Amino acid sequence: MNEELLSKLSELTEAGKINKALAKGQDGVDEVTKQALDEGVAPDAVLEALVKGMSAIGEKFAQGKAFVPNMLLAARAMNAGMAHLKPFFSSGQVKRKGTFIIGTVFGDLHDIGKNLVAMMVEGSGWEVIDLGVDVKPEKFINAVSQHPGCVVGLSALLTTTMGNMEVVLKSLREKYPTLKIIIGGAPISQNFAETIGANGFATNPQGAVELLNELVA
Amino acid sequence: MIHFNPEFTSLSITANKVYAEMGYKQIQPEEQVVMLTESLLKEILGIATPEYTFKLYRGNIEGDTVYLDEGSQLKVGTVLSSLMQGSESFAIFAATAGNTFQRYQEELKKGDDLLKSYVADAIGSCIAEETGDYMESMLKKEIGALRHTNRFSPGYCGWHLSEQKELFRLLGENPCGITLSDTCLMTPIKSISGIIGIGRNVKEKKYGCRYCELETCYKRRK
Ligand code: B12
Repeated sequence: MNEELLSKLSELTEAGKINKALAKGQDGVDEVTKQALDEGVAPDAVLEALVKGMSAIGEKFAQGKAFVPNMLLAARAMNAGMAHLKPFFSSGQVKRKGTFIIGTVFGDLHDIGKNLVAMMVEGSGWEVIDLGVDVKPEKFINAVSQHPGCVVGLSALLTTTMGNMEVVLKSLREKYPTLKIIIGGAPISQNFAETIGANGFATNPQGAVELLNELVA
Repeated sequence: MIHFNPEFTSLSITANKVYAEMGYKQIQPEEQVVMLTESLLKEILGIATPEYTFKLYRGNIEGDTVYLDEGSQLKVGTVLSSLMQGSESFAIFAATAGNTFQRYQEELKKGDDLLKSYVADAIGSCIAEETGDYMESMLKKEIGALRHTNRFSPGYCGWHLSEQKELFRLLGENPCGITLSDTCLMTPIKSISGIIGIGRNVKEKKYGCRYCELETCYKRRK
């Protein structure tokens, strides 16, 4: 019974079915999450089921079998479920995998790619702090100081602002030599990531999730 | 200099083009996406003020550089210089979805509807590209019997993005209301810029990925 509910929850998340009102009268993630918790399913098992749905859609996107809107719908559905899990996060009964601080580096205003990564990382069970666009080194440093043990993600879409990633990375490492930093954006390559000394790079949100999970494993 | 504000009716942006921009090629998007695209398209086409401009210069190509008679040099790289071989003059252009759209998008982003923001973003990209196409058709009229090459932009095919500075010097301050930052980012975001070669014998060749160094370029992946 539980198994069935949980796999239904994963499927509904993947398909972006939010709630009854939006899913043509069928139960969505909102209703099924509540039902599962009411029936005594462990909150961390519920979270796991939601995460599984998100990772399925992230995987399909990485393979070109799903599109950005699919991820956005899935994330909305996931959020509907997360709302019911909130009390368990506050009480410490369910834990996040870690804290991820992300921002588009200074000089660059592009945010769609960054937002997608933020959303999917959050959907994989991390706490995400999004610093926005045009973020200067000091702002990153400040955020890191408040979240010991966090991982940082830098985004840039142009070859000219790609250089600013190195500036941010260097200033961060000066203060936090062991800080883990991953990077991404259209012009970024593995080669560039290695040259500036980042801990990894990914071309899509699911890649970012996998990278993060490896970094904290 | 030719500067124009095309009527939207002359731009042919359809929902299908927006779907393609979002990645849906042969596949029909979800109903929610279709409905949102159709309504946003109507709304945005009602308010957007796309603009384009181009300026014609006589000049010639030597090695990897375009030399314009008025004294400017554009180091376009060997890929683009070979694609523009034979050009006798050049159109320097900019095209944008416009500031009204930029403000509209900024407003949308303040809300928390990421899907709506994303669809609007894709529409904005279509408008910018489509305005570029419209600009090309107007250039065609202007040059009469002469032929022209494809349009090429800094940031592609080995033409370094920093050359945006020279392009903007040529186009004059704030062409079509576009500003260029120190990092060569144009605002409105949905803007494009570049060069088109013109001559009796030039061809409209596609991009030359074989020779380009930008390993991450999406035109290569296609
Ligand atoms: C659509 C598009 C446009 C549109 C809209 C632009 C916009 N940004 O809104 C238009 C037509 C207006 C345009 C214009 C230009 N563009 Co353009 N454009 C693109 C295109 C095709 C898609 C960009 C996009 O929206 N992608 C979708 C998002 C979701 O992807 P993303 O941001 O890359 O993010 C993903 C990954 O990178 C990754 N990721 C992102 N951040 C992070 C962070 C971390 C930590 C991790 C792990 C992963 C990660 O995950 C995200 C989700 O999958 C790209 C090529 C491409 N396919 O990437 C070129 C591209 C971005 N453009 C490019 C260029 C050069 C330009 C112009 C300068 C050309 C010109 N001179 O006219 C202008 C600049 C405009 C400006 N404002 O200054 C270059 C930039 C590289 C460079 N050379 O600097 C690209 C990469 C094309 C290329 N040559 O390969 N562009």
